[in-house]
Parts: sequence; structure tokens; C-alpha cells
Amino acid sequence: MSGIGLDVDRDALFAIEQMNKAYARCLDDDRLEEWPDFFLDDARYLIQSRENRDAGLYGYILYFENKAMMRDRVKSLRIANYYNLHTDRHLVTNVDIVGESDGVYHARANYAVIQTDAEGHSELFSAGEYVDRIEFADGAPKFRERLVLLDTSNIVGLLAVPL
Amino acid sequence: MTEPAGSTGGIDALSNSGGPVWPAEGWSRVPFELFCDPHIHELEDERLFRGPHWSYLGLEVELPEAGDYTTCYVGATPVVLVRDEGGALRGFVNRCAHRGAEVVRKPRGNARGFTCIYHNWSYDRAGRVTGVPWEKGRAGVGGYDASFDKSEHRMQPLRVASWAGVVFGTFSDDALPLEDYLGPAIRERLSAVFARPMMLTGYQRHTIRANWKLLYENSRDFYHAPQLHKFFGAFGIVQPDQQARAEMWHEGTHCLLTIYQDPGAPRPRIRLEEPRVAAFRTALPDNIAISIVGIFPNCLFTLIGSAFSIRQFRPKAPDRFEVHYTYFTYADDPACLREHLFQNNQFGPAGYVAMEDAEVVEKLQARIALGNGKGASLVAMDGTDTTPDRIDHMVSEANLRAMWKGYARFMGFAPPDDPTAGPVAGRPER
Repeated sequence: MSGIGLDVDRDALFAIEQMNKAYARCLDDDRLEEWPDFFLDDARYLIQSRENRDAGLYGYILYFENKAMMRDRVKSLRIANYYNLHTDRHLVTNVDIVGESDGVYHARANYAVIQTDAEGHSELFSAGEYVDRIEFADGAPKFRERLVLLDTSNIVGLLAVPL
Repeated sequence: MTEPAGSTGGIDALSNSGGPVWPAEGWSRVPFELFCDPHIHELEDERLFRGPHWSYLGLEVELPEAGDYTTCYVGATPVVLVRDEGGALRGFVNRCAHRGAEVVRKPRGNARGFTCIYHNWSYDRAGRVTGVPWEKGRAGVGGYDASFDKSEHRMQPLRVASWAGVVFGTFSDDALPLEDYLGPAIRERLSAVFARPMMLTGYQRHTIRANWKLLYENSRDFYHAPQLHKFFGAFGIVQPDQQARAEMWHEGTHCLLTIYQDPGAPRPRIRLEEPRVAAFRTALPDNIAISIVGIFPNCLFTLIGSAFSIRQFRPKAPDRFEVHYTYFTYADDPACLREHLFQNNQFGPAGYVAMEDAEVVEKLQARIALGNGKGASLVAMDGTDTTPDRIDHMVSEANLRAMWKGYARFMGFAPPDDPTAGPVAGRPER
């Protein structure tokens, strides 16, 4: 039954699904200060368009390679940057484990983010895929790397809050 | 240099037509209708993007091999840039000579030639027709008659020229030679930056729901930088009193902004946990921290440390345009790629010192369109002078006024002090 995933590690998958839900709720609730805590200290958080990925190019719209950079992002959004007033709604689905080696789980999930502006208009802001490497520390999953692979390679307006 | 600063190619034949009545206060006012009038938007495509100006098409580093191609836009017109088998760069409109269909369908790639999917007309790398199915008929019937000569058909070519590996194209025979068009200061800066081998690092697409000129103007606006982009001040990265210079060319429409390193000053107190994001190690043997090069009408270079990018403006409507970013850095020093990845977090649609620009111009667009574009913006800091080709401090809007004066000239709009200015025949009533 390869490809269907019936032999998946159910405990790990359940934990990763729960992490994805908590991650989405953290961002949607604007609890940005908690967002870096989903990551290991030297984890990478990357946003890259599928267009660049397929061409073998870097082209990162954000490139963070440690948790300090994630804290800087949140701090800057809070104290320095002006961006569109909005709320995000993350829809995360198709969470799956696609591989595992040396305790690092390779996981994928589809996402869509709907943004609602200050006057209540909702629009699809971004669609794409999470391509993750996840480790368990003290029984809890943490990102070793989260690559946000954008299908929506054409950003409308701006991208301030992490996806 | 013997270049006449006033030489602008073949724009002088334009008479005032279709433009706004510029406010009597002069170039220190910019009529809002320039940003929302569909008629002016169409005139810009004809007079700027298809007029006697050079538009940025791509970088030579994107096209190392014969057959490599990229697609882009010159104003509204979709254009293909190709390297041919002889190594020459060719540009043509991506529109079939037969019925007008799109021919090149992928954004970039490598090809021996191109074939339209509709009736399979085929083309060489210069956009010339090489094959027409059923040209001589089929099974003894039909086909084109004897007067048809496929060599007379091609996708519309552009003139293509490059400077220091940066490729430009124009539809006009009247555009100045590219070297004269760029002018000495921009030529010198591009030559210095591109003196070492470059590597392409990626692309980014960005849609902004505003008029393209608002961002083009913003890119040379010293005034807004420390006021709007609080990232600088909050983390002590750029001080407003840093030495800076703006040099204009092409009737004020090009602008080379230079912000210098200040080695004598104490290091700013960086409060980023990861200072590499904003470490401006200059990769060149000079004391320049930042260069922003606006080359009218369609491109902006941002050259900071090792984080290089070029933005191609793609106007789509009076109130919408796309920015296509190409990112690149030096290929001969791995440290440059690392710095580039870190520093690029500042730029683009998610950038620490860029996101506000998109936010501001989008919100601005919605307000200047009020009252059908009546009203004007105020650009009067540091006097009302419009003639300088250089300013040496940041506390000025003189480089904006120079741009608007040049823009109006290139559009054929009457200047504010022209006693004959007024509504002109052929312009739709507002």
C-alpha cells in the first residue's frame, strides 16, 4: 500500500497534526510572540515560491536560519513596521508524514490563508504547501525546518505576518 | 564627456495632448489625475513604454547559453528576450504574426525556436517565421498563393542593447544610444557593481494595487525613508544625517541615489538579535552603503551590500501594477551569497524596509482617486527648483520635482507656466 500511508507512525502523525493546528491558531490569534516556540533554536523558516524552487533558485521571500531571526521578525512587526490591518485565517489540511530518518520526520501539509481587512472584506491571500522537517524533543514535536512553498508566487500587497 | 544633458531623443515632436492642466504653482504640485486617469495610462504605454526610451528586459547572467530565453513586459506589451546561436540577444513581442496568439508560453527556458500552438507557425530565436503548415497547400489544394512569402513575417522585434550585463530594449528608432540614455553616473555605477561575475539567485512577483508612478517616485524620496521605515530607526541601522547624494539624468527621470558608509561615526547600537540581516558590508572597494538606481521608465536597482535586486515595473491598469524582482549577487565569493540571503529579508513584498511602501501607495491610491482625481500632491521641500541634476543632502524633494518635469515633457504635457496650456482637443472630458 505504498503511497497511501497506512503504515504511518500514528502517534507521530497525531502529534504533527496537533502541532499544525496549534501553529495555525497561534498565528490566527495574533499571538506572534509564541510563534518562534514551534521551532528548535537553530531551525530554519523559509518562504519560497514554487517557481523558484522548481528552477533550482533560492529566491526566498523570507530566509530565517535561527530562532533569533524569528523573534526579530515579531519584534519588528510589533515596534517598527506598518502593514495592512488584517486578520488571518489558516486552513491546513492533508497533513502527512512522507518519510523519517534518524528521528527527523519529513512532513507535508497544504495550506490556504484567507485575509480579512479592517472593513471586513475577505480574500484568499496565499495558497501553498508546508514542507517540514520535525523532531521530537521531550515528546513534543518541533520544527527543524519549515519551508512555506508558495503556489501564490505573486504576493498581492505585502506579506508581514508569517504564514 | 560631450553628452548634451538636454538631449532626449525623439520626444520633441510631441505636442501637448491628453494631459492635465498643471497647477499654477508649478512643478511643486503633481496632479492626482496622473495616477488614476485611464486615458493618461494609455498614453503612457504609447509615449513612454513604446516611445523613445529604453526599458529593462533582463540580465545577461540569466541567458548564458544559446537558446536561453526569458519573458517580461515592456509596459503592457509581453516581450521575449533570447540569446541566439551567434550569442546575440534578441527581443520580440510574444504575439504570433499569424493571428496574434501567445507563442512563448513558459516564463523562461531554453529553446531551438518557438512554435505557436494555434496553427503551428514556427519561429527562429529571433522571432522570424520559419515554418507555416500547409503553406503550399495539402493534397494539391489550397495553401497560400504564390505572393505569400513567409520571410516577410515575424514577431515584432525590439532594438536590444546591454550595458555591463544589463539588457534593455526599445520599440523606437528615435531612442538615444543606450550609453547616452543611461548617462555617465549610472553607467559608472553599473560598471562598478557588475565588474565581477554575478549569479542569479531568484525571482519574486508582486502585485500592488496602485499607480506604478507612486512607487517609482517613492524610490527616490529621501524624505519618507527615515519617517516611514521605522525598522531603520528602531534598530539603529541608518541615521537620517548620513551623507547622501542624488544624481539625475534623462530630464530628471533617472535617479542614482547614493548613501555612503560613515566609518568615522560610532557604530549604531544594533538591537537585532541577528545583526547579519542589516550588516552592510560593502562588497566593493568604495564607501558606498546603498545605491538605488531608477532608470526610467521601468526599472529600479537596489544595490546594498551583497543583496542586489532589480525591479521591473509592469503597469496593468491606472490603479494596479506588478513588480517583477530579479535577485542576484556575486558568484566569486560564497560569503556574498550568505550575506545576500540574510540581507534580502529587508526587501521585496515581505521586506523589513519595503513592506510599508506597498501599504502606503495602496492606501494613497484609494484617496487620490477621490473626486475623480482632482487635487494635487505637494512636493515643495527645499524650494520649488526643478533644474538641479544633483543634490547632496536628504532634506529635499528637488529630485522628485525634476522627475515630474521630465515626465511631463516626455508625455508631451504642457508645462504649468505655458500660457496656452488648457484642455486640448482630443482629450476626453472629465
